[in-house]
Amino acid sequence: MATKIRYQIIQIEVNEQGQIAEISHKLPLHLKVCTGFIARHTKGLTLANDLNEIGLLALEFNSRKQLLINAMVGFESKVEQLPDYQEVNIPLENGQLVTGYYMDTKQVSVSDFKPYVVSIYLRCELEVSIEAKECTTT
Amino acid sequence: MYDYLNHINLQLEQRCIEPKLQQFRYLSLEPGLTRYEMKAYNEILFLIKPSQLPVGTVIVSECRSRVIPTDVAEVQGIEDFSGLVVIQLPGVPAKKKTIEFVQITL
Repeated sequence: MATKIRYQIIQIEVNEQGQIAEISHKLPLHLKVCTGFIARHTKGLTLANDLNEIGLLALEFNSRKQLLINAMVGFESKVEQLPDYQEVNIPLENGQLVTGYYMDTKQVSVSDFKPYVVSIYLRCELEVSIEAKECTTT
Repeated sequence: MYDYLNHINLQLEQRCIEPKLQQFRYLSLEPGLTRYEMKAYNEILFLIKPSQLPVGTVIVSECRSRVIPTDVAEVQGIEDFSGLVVIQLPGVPAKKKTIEFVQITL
């Protein structure tokens, strides 16, 4: 058996100040383990400086059986290098839900608020058989 | 009326949780205070009557967050919170009020 990596991307649109966006994302059946994640701002904000926190993220796996990720999401004004995946090791049950929430905590006035998008990248592995199939020729 | 105790038991069963204890837990809202913190580590708190809280109340916990909506009186579902649960009221309550949770100790 060998492992192959597949990435799942969950995008969250934040349209209001202080918004709590619920996450409910069904993972494909064939994914067996989640080995890492990145949560980052990907669209919308244009700020001069970095911010350590623009929101809070909570993720539960296997249809709410395991709460495994609580993280702050920050903002980088200049992205020079993509961040590394934060390592996790979460066995996945077949086709279960990833649930949770993202809450905007950026303290700006309502008039200054601009919608933005946060993306969560889940790095997952699946096992595949490497038995070679016999070729048949006619 | 929606049987919330049955819902809670089903939730626990589906999430493979065997509670050590199930009981009621109360939070008193005092006039003059708008922010409350409840420690619910290794616990689950089911808010069984969200309409007890004023519209616009924000509840933040490690697994779930919620803003009490304007039509909360028509909402029958109940939600659970755990870890550090912070309740931020939109304004100062005029009188003392008790909020009821079902506490599940893990």
